Amino acid sequence: MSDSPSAPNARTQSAQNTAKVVVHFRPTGNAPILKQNFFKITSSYRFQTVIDFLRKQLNVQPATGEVLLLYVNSAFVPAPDEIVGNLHQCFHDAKGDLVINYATTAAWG
Amino acid sequence: MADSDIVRRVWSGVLPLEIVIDLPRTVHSQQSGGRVDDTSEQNYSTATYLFAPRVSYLPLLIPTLRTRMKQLVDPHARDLAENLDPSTVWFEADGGVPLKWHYPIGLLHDIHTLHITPSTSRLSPPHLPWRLRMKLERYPVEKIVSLRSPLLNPVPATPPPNDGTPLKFEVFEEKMKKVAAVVQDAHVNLLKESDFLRNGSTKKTMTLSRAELGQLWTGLETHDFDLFWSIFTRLITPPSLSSHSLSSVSLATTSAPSSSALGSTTTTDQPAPSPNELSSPTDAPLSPTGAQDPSPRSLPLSPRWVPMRAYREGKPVAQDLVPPYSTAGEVSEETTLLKALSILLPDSSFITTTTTTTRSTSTPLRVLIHGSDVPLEAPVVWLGMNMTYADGFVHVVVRGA
Repeated sequence: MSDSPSAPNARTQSAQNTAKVVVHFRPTGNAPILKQNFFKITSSYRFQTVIDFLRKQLNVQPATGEVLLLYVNSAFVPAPDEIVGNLHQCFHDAKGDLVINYATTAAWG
Repeated sequence: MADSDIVRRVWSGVLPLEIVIDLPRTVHSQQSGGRVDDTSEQNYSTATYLFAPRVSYLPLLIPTLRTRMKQLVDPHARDLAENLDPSTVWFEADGGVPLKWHYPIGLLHDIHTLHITPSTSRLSPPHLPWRLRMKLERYPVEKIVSLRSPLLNPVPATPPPNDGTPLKFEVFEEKMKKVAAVVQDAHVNLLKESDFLRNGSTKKTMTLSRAELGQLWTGLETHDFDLFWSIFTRLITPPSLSSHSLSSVSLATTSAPSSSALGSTTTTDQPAPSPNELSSPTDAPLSPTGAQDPSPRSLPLSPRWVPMRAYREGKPVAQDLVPPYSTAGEVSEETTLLKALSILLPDSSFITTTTTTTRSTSTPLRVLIHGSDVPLEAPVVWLGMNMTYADGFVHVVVRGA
């Protein structure tokens, strides 16, 4: 995620928090597909960074009311202020990737 | 397993609040009367007092606060109350810190009064009522989640037009319904997250009917124990042995041989469930020992992981996989709160100092759940049954770490 905005406190975080984790994006339903599905993201970032990044990648414009939903493991929508590293630590798959399913209409509950 | 008296007490916990309502002047500059213009540079405020359920959420207080505003003598305040848009309301702690509305009120209090140490405060425990400011404008979208469909359409809310005229007529009750739906949405997703940690899938939450979900929410909104817990208890009751790894269960029987109810003698030495199991929510197959056991209910129940989060001042929230039982070589025992904190806060110094019983006396360590000091020996399985918040998580606030 080289073009993602930098977190304000990224520099002051410890080395552990500047570690990166792999995020695996999977489209659901009619959601557009990405050329590249795997991205590295700094673990201390908030989930909002992931939302903003994917929105940019898919060119989903909030102004026009386009919806983009991000689910972890097809199961739940994390709050935008949850820490990516926490989500990865608790919900990564067997390969060590945090799977994020995205949809342009409500998919699970 | 669950101690109904404790569960009820935790649920009943209320927090006395002093809420200072900031009444902006600018919106109603057309208000007649010279005094308004004289003080137009400065907002003015009025305080009100109420008891808030610790397990509830700040936006759910808005209808009550609006009623109080309407009772004020000042016609300007009544006017503001009449036209109040609840999605623009936010709350601030002392020091100008915006409060996250998706955190339970009690947790917010415990987090934001951490810095008040007995030496700097006249009163200990922290001064009550807890003083908050209610703000009606300049919603800090960069710092707290918007109350306008944050999860369904997570974009920064565009600020409302500030020309003092509502775009379209919509009664407060309708607007409040939408705000409550946003809070409920956030709550349900936290429930699903904790469900996934406990059970390896969100099946329990997803199979709730619309009516049951509605009852759960009404129970929270109205602070009705029976309404809420009759549904909630199903979500947090651990799966039986057959649905997941035997290891923790069999190890528990060896660690508690005195309990005659634990008739099984399974001592299989399987590895503890790994994080990878979470990716395949399908139930683990029964091991031969489990299949031979004719009475699964004779075995203790245990969640896969105990949903826990730890909070410290000035640090990001910590969340990790907390196993219900810990193994050290041959010996296995219930995971204690101390052990859980060492998993959640590996960089924390108090863990080592506490375990070597040479804890520094200069910074008193406090570990709070629901505002209560909890002994570090407390087993997390018990905490997960008895001291969870309404979102299914055990939120632990740590001071002195």
